[in-house]
Amino acid sequence: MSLKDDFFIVIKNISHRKLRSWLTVLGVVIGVAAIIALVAVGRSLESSIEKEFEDFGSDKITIVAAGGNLPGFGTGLTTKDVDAVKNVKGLEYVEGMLYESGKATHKEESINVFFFAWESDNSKVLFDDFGADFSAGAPFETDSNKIVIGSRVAADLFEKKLSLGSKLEIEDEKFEVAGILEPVGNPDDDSLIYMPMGVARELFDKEDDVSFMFAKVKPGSDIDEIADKITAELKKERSEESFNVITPEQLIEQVGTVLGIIEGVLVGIAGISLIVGSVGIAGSMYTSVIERTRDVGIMKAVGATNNEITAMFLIEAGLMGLVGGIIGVMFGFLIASMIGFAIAQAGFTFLEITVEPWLVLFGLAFALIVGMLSGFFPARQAARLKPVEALRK
Amino acid sequence: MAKNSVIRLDNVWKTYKMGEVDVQALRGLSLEVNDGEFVAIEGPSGSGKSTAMNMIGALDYPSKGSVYLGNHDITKLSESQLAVIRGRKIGFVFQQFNLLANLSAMENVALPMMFQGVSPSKRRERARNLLESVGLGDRLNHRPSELSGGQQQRVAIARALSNNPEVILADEPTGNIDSKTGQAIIALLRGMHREGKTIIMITHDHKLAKFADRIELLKDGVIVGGSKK
Ligand SMILES: Nc1ncnc2c1ncn2[C@@H]1O[C@H](COP(=O)(O)OP(=O)(O)O)[C@@H](O)[C@H]1O
Ligand SMILES: [Mg+2]
Repeated sequence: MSLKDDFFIVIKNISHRKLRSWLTVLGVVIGVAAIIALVAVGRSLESSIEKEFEDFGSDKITIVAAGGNLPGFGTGLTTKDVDAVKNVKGLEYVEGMLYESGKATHKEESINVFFFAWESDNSKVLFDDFGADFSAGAPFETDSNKIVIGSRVAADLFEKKLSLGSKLEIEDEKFEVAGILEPVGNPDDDSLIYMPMGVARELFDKEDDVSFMFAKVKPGSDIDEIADKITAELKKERSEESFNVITPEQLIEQVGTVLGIIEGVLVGIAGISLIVGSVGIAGSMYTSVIERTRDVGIMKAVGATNNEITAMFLIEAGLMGLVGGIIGVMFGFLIASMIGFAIAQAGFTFLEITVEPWLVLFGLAFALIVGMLSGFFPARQAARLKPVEALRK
Repeated sequence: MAKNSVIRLDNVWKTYKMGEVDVQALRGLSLEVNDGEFVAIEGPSGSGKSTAMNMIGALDYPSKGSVYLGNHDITKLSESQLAVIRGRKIGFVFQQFNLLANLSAMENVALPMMFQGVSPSKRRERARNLLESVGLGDRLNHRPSELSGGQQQRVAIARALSNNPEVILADEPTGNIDSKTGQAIIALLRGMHREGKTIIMITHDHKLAKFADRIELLKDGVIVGGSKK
């Protein structure tokens, strides 16, 4: 009996019980679709975040006050700390950054926004190193009331759009838009207003506060070694370890751990749905064996061997698994794209959903194997039927 | 051993276990059928006819004794070996027709050839010829449910012939059809016999048994007599 013959008989059987076959397949479809969608989103998240870090570069060190390890959290650093870090050799620069929120008014419309301030004399380099490109204008380079705005500040936040030279009142002082940034794909970053440090210190009445420090190491130096030196210098100056020195590797590791957990949970959920799917196939195959006991008896009487009967049922189960897998992959792709679209609508355009070829292959192979494994015991049961007994049914 | 024996049962016993009770369906049945014979096994209901057919057709193993198909002792063969021998050497015609409901008449007839690895084009051609020879040339693509009982039994006869077996084994072939159509079925069997096939027909009906060359009377699991033309 050729494989083609097996398929002929199997397809006759499956199409004979169309509705039940589809219901069986549905279980696998749900499982595979869940796996594809969840893994695709998880992996895309991971690779997008990794790419963000790569763009950011591996030669940057962030120093924050204890209590937070992301910029903007925790307070307690001052300009004195910045001066201390300046003593460390091997740094191209270290800058104190100020992160503030306040009111901005444009044409009578007031909203709350976040401000980011840094020294005007290093401004050009900092915009560069933060990966911010200008769609119009240029960085501020003196301590004057000139600001640079994120793309959403220009286009989305106010009713009336802002352009180069637009006037803006911030905390009752007049400012002029000197530069507009390209979107970076993250709604928070795209909603920032950047201003010179000298101006910000007066405006927000922050004499020597620093939200976090940002340093770049000289090419060819060992970033971990320099991070240790910074720690030592700050300890000396502050006499306690109330700060964190963060290198990109550490951040990637932390983010990676969190993503790993999320992905694990997602795959777990998907796995459970697949198990449910495989129970569905096994159940359907068992009923199919029982329903077709007589057919098995007839086939055996006219010359089918046990192996031929096993093959028939295995192929039937495998085929249902595979069909479920193919439909599941397509649905999974659709769901992942929809999630990607929803995330992009929320402003996170940096997230690019891709379904990698290995994931598709894995989904299909998995569905096929789940199908055949679920069909294995029913198939054996069918093959072991004694022709006489099967014919008596 | 006699000339050209195709089937030989030697002191065959078959015991079914029904819980605590043993049912002895065959009690030392011996029978020999030679090439080209038309033999009827006649006996009342419960005499062990179907059990005997299972032995002759290698569908089951005896509890005791030996069954030879040609020179194969079936008690020494595995289930799969039996399947292959059944497919090649024996054509079954059952009282309940036993066609596959999902398959057309032609596909049913082609099924035994499928298990023997006959090519699809040959299968189709032979199945069509066989169906034409039993008068169903215009019913090739009908499902069993679309055919009358007599027509279904003719499909079953065509199927029994598909691998050109040595022996046709028919268990109450007219049991589920009216007597007029039954006559036609018997005529087909006689035609096959004239063409050289060995026919073994099992029946409780003496009128049918008389169509055979030889009648063996079965009672309580043994041959109790017989007659020959
Ligand atoms: N699978 C079985 N299990 C138990 N008893 C059986 C089985 N098959 C047949 N018998 C018994 O064996 C005897 C012979 O049955 P069978 O060969 O079917 O006779 P017939 O075909 O002549 O009517 C009967 O008493 C029947 O009840
Ligand atoms: Mg019977």
